[in-house]
Amino acid sequence: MFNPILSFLRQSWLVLGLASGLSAALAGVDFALRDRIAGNSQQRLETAVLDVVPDGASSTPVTIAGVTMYRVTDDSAAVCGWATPADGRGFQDRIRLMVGLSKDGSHVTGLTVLESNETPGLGDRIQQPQFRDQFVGQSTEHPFARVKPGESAPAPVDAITGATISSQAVITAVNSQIALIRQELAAQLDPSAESQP
Amino acid sequence: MSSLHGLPEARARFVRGWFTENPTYVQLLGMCPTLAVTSTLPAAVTMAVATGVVLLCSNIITSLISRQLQPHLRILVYTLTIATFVTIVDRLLAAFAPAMSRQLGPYVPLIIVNCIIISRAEACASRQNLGTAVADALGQSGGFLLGLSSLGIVRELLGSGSLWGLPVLPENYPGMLIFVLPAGAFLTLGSLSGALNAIRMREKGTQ
Repeated sequence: MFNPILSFLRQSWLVLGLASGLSAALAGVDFALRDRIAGNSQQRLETAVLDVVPDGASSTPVTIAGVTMYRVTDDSAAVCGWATPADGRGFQDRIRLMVGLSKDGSHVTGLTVLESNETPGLGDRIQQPQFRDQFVGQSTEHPFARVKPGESAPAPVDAITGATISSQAVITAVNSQIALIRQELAAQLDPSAESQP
Repeated sequence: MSSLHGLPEARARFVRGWFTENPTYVQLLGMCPTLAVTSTLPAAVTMAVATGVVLLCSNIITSLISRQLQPHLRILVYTLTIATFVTIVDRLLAAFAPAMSRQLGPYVPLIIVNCIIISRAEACASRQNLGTAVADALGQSGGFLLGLSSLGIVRELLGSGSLWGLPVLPENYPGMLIFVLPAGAFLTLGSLSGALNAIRMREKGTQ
């Protein structure tokens, strides 16, 4: 007599066995490596935070007005700056940045790219210091503006040739992140500012 | 099929993978990683080694179970095996070479659909004993490594003036952007493949 269950098992025991064995192997690998992989991205974030704030020795994540930031302290445990992750839509994919700000949030101290899949040779030059360093030292009072050679603006940034969209994406991301936190930073540092209208 | 020029099957397969059946230049298989990740030599070598490890594991498993395997379930089993090993390699890279893992991005998971691996499972490992399947995997991986690294050398040298990240050309070398971009991959692949075939034709002619 034809037994469908037996017929099924006769044909598929190998597939079922392999699937179980391979799944167990996958689970084992994940279990063994999960902490290390999480540690890698954590370490990368911490390196980026200390990279964008000069004299930074250690950092603590804090949430100000719903935005994740890192309070960066120097060797004597005094606050020496802030770092905040910024996000933008690039040419191909999301661009993730880390922006460093001075203690009072008045100017940019550093900018580094955490993640970018921009076109090699063109858009991915946003990672090079020639582009990133343009932000450093500039005041956060005015939003950054993309300029062509010869033009002027309160906070000018030269776009990369052949990568206008990537350059603009970085500028927009930095601007919107700074706009989000500038007020909060000023208020945090100067308690009297909160009571005054 | 038992031998080529009197060599035992395993050795013949190992040698053929490197040159006469080179997956990149002769079979033109696995073109996606070939074109996508060869803009620098380190990325090309990492991709070739990752693919080689998966190919070796897949050939071993396929060869071991080939007698018990129901023919109509074989593609399912190949995919299952390959996907598992690719995921393991991907996690290993993320754990021990995070920068390279980020650079290769989606192309490591895409090894799952690399046709070199499934074609070796179907054409060789499912019909041969373990030793032959291992030799075949090593030969094909070697050929793939040769293919990817030659592309990586040409593209990194002409595109960025460096090799393995170290500058080798004079500092005022401008770098030909096209060799970093995908178009340069097609140009390099076409030229190298053409040159190799021209050499093979000439050798055939003189024999």
